Parts: sequence; structure tokens; C-alpha cells
Amino acid sequence: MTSPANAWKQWLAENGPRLLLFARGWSNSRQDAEDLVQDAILRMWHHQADKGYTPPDLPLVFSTIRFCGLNHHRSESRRRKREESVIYLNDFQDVWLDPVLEDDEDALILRDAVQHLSEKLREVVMLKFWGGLTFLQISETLAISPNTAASRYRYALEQLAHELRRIKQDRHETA
Amino acid sequence: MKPPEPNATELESALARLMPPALSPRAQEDIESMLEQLANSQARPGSHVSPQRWFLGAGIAASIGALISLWPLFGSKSEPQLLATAPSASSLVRESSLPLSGTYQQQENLATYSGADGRVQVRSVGEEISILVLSATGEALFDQKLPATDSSDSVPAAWRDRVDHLRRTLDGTHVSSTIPSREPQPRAVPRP
Repeated sequence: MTSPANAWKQWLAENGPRLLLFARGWSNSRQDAEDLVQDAILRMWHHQADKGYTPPDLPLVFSTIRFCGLNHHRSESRRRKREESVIYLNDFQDVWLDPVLEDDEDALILRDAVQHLSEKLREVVMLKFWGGLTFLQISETLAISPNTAASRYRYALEQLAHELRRIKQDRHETA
Repeated sequence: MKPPEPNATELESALARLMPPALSPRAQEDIESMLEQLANSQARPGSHVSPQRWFLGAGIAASIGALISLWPLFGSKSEPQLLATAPSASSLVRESSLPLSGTYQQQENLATYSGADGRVQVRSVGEEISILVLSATGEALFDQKLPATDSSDSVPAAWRDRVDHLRRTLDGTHVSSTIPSREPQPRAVPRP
């Protein structure tokens, strides 16, 4: 029988990247996102005590990451107000998604476009596409109706398609 | 010429060529280490009490309870037990004459007994003891003040034992240890 720790490690190996991607939407850096994931996993461990410490369902973990992200965002806002003189540097090489193929122009454009989607649209796209959730599960995670989740996804794809066409047209005209 | 806008299928195909990066090795290691610690703390002996240990604890508690309840039979005999089994001339109160419902009012130094056959009231007033014995009909059978050092020989024999009992109550020689020395206080339940 697999021990709880090993079961969770295996579960983390399978789902860690998608959890990290979702956490990126709630943090300023990769390190903060990883801290969010760890915080959520810790909460999930205690939550699963009644279920024999089995690995949790993904929608619940996404929801917990979102909750942790909101808490982190509040405390971070308060901290920044206290330390206004501190200059925060961004890591511009830090990206949320990696293209599978090199020199994949469309994928690289979409990567930036996804990051610049509004928060509501980006969450749905991430949960649907890389999180592997159904619209029903997304609705439970984000506390919205399934129809709203579906319409947000559709609207996000339209925006991405429009952005992809616009950038390609600009490059074509420049060339 | 404008390039055509990609349809949803083409777009999703392009999105599928983007993959989320894995956790950094350090983060992966930190989380796995945390999981190990959580699993160890969960499995540590003492943090989980097996059913056998519950039964063992319950058995010990039951044994102690039974021992306490049977102690008067094996240990030193208490006064009522002694009176019941071996009444003698030195006994101050016979079991049959023990008040069935006595009350003591500390502030008024008043001890009373009420029964089917009457009522006894003993009050301590300075160096004296005021004794009032009433019949069931309310007739005063005895109403006198006696020096605190005097015996109750003048009290009617049928009531003497009960009067003595109430006098001992007032003197605190018999039940002083059972009288609380402070006001009762609300019970403070510890928070889990």
C-alpha cells in the first residue's frame, strides 16, 4: 500500500506544473507562486485528514490556491504601503508558459497574450486548458455559474485570436 | 492583405504547444520534505491512540472507580456504617434517629430538622444554645436556652439525639469539613 507521503509526491509530480501556472496569476514572481502552491498543499493536507490523507481533488486545490493568493495579495498590498520607498524589480525573463517547439511564433505571441488577459478571463483559460477542468468544475472553483465560465472561455479565445492576428499583421507590415 | 483570424481550433492547437513549467527543484524538494514531515507527525506514536489503548484506559478507570465505590467495605468504617452495624452506648446518634432532612444556615447559626413527627430548631446565640422542639401539630414540646457547655439531658428523650446532632452541626464538630468555606463559584470549563 502506498504511503500518504508517496501518494502526495506522485500527485504533486503529475499536477505541480498546472498548480504553479494557476498560482502565477496570483503572485508577482515564480518564487511567490511556488510558495502559494506549498501553502495550498499544506492546507490541503490538513483538510484531507478526515479522508485518510488521500490526495485532494484538483478543483479544490485550485480554489485553495486562489484563497491563499487573495490573502497574500492583501498582506502584500499592506506591506507595500508601509515600504513605499522600496523599489521592486521585475524579472522580465520570467514567463508563465514554455513553448514546446522552438521559434513557434504563434505560441510565443499567445503566451504573452494569455498573461495579459484580464484576471477573470485568464483564470478560466488556465483552469480549462492547462488545469484540465470541466466548465462545471471551473464554476465550483471560481464560484460562478457554468454558463459564465463557458462564456468567459469563449470570450478569452476571441481576444486571443484577435491579438494573434493583430500582432502578425503588424509584423507582416513591418517586414 | 490582412491575415485571416484563426478559428478556435487553430487557436487551441497553438495554445496546446505551450506547456506550464515544472516547479523548480528547490520548491519541489521543499514541498516533498514538508509532506514527509507531515506524514511522520501524523504517524508518530502518541499522536494517534489505538482502540486497544482506549480499552486499556477505560479498564483502568473502571477498576479505580469500582475500588473507590467498594472502599468503605474494606477500609476504615465511616461513622454511619459503624452506627449501623454496632450501636453502642458511646454512639452519639443512632442511625434510626439521624435527621432525614436537616438544614443549616451558617449566617444565622441555625440548624433545623423537619420530620413527620415534628420539628427541631437549634440556634447558637453567643454562649448559649436556643432549642425549640415542635410536635407535628406545631405544639411546643421544648423551648429553652441552655449554656453551650451543658448537655441536652433536659430535652425530651425522643428528641435528644436529634438535638445533639444539630448541636454538633452548629459546633462544626460533625460536618464542619463538608461546609464550604467560600461562596460557590461558576465552573470554568477549559477550552480545548
